[in-house]
Amino acid sequence: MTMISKKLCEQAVPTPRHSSLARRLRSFPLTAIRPGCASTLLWHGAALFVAMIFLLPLVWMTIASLQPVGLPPARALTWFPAGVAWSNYAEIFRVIPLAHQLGNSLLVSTVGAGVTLLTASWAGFAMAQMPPRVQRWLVGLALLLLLVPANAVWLPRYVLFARLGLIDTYVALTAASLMGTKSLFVLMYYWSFRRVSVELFESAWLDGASAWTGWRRLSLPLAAPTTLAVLVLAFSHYWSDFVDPLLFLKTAARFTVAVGLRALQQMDVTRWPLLLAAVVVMIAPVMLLYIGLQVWLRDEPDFARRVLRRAFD
Amino acid sequence: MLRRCGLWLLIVVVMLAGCTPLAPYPARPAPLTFFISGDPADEAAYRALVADFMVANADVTVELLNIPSGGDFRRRLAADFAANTPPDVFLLNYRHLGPFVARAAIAPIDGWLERSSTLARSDFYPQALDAFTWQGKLQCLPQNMSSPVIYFNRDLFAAAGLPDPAADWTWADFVTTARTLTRDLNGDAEIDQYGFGVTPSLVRAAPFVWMNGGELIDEPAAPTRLTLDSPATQEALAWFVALQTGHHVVPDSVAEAAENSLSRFLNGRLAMYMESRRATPEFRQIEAFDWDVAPLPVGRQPATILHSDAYCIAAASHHQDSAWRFVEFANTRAGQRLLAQSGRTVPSRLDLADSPAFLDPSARPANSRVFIDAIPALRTFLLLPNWSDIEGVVDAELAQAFYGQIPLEVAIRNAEARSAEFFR
Repeated sequence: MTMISKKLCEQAVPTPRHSSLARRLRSFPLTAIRPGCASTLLWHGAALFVAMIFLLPLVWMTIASLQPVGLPPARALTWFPAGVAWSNYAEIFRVIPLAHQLGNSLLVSTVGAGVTLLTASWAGFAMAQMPPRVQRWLVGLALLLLLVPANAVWLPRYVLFARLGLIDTYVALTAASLMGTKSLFVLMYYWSFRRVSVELFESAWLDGASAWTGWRRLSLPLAAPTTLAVLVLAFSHYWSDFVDPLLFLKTAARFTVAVGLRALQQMDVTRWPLLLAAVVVMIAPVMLLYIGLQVWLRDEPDFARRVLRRAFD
Repeated sequence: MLRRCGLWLLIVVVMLAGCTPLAPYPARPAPLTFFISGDPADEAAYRALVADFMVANADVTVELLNIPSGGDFRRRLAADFAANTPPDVFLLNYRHLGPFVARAAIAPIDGWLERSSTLARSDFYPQALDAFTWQGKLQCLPQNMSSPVIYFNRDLFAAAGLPDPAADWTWADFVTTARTLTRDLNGDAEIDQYGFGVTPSLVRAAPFVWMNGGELIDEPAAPTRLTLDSPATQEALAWFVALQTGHHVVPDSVAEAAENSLSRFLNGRLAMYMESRRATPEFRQIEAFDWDVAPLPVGRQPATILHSDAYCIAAASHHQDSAWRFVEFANTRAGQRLLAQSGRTVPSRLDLADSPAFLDPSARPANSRVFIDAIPALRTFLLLPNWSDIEGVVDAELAQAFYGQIPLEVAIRNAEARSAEFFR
């Protein structure tokens, strides 16, 4: 409904589309409000409301992470009744080896997400080039794989890695990235590569392009938004993965930040401001990655809106 | 083109090589692995113990691994045992020992303890040793012991004009006290202060069953089923459940979900809380009110339940003798003393539990003797292969009855039916 009124609104007020500066400004919410266009206001109001729902827990977490340690848990959201304890953020690095664990997590997540981008896009590319019948079977198989519960593969994987002598190495943690981590990522690439017109490839093949060029020069640049989405999803998958490090690592020095967080969770509730401080520190890199990619995406300011419109239409 | 392709490949290879161990097995003797589960303070205490041990035993290296939560710890142990790469030493509660002893995954420590020159059976409370004995053999060496008590807010007692609970208070006294302390302070018909808080689980209800002369299973030697429906057991469970459903002195399920009993006690809005010794370090941080511990109210006969963790040595360990040296060291007076400093547990050594080291009168609770006085009446759950599963089933049903979602008789019937498969 909002989408339709928004479209009408856009037709009524033609917008300059030639200047890139104007486009940039247009993507900024407040400047997009035009007089006589209540639906725009409504649209942004709704968007802000949804954003608030997701932001409130983050705000509350940050406030709670700054409460002094040793007090009984608060019953409701409180604004610093006992002062602001910035020292919590120093204390967590003493209670657990957080800096070390953050480094480990960064290594695992970067390698995991990087390899995932390669393997998932290769697999998606190959799928998109196959005959339609095979494609349908592979999509079915990928969806089926998504339905396998994660805890069903813990033990088989553990035994497999133990036989291969990979227990207590980061190979065990990132091995799944060699298979695209999740079949969802392969499917995401498949779906966006499938949109690239066949004629484009046919002319490329005629010009003597190899499969590599087809993937690297044609498909990948056209699927940049998918790459970004897979990057964020894969990075946060490895970043927040808790069970794998717990099962596959034996040396405490190799533990990742998710395991460190679990250790803080075992503390008494009166010390939970420390837990929340560590959560803020843990979420920060993923937030930064997300915000960074958002800024990057502003080169294409209508991206999010275009995706939404397509979803509604 | 080719060059760029090669570059990509090189990047992948380097990335993969970066995470492959160059030398997976070092030349020096493999270190002893030791698994625990606890918070950072626990881990620090065990690290100190390990460091002390390695100073005294330069030829052995111990690698400590803390797997934070209890559930994850057991999951990890199960995976390690399944892959036949178990830790050499690990700490385990006797309630979770069953599956391991049933598969002979643990090396009994009887022989080592007999031969030991520094430890003797008589150093430890027999109640704790019995809990870890399976078919006449001591499986693991208990490090601590504890039992549930009633933590009470002395300020709330004084405000209501009540004296501290007497050592021989009865179930009826307890209910009267709890009812007096359950209050609607502002007249809005909602209870603001509860008299009692407890987790509705078998481990909390069991002491009352035994006090009432009831039993949980039919035949200790060869158990075939739960006996929750026997009159004495059912009567005790009915009394326990009625604390919430009848007397409303315990928060109901909605109130508990809104704020749990532990948080209510810490905030001074719940007068009595049933917990083992493990709550003590947390309660020591309370400054807003005075608190102490009281024994469980007395039924027909004295009874309470043991909580205890022990050091176990894996049967598949390749370093069993060094593992024993570590276990031996950890259970000397000095070793246990190091771990008892947290105040979270009661040492399992007689010479440490009943000594100023534990009964420090300057540290709260003032009445720490309650834990020592309860020892003669300690009982344990039987060491059964599937005991954790049985307990899980009973807990789920009991919680529903406790919060008035199903009648107790139905809960008992369900628990008996659902647990039947675990007795086979």
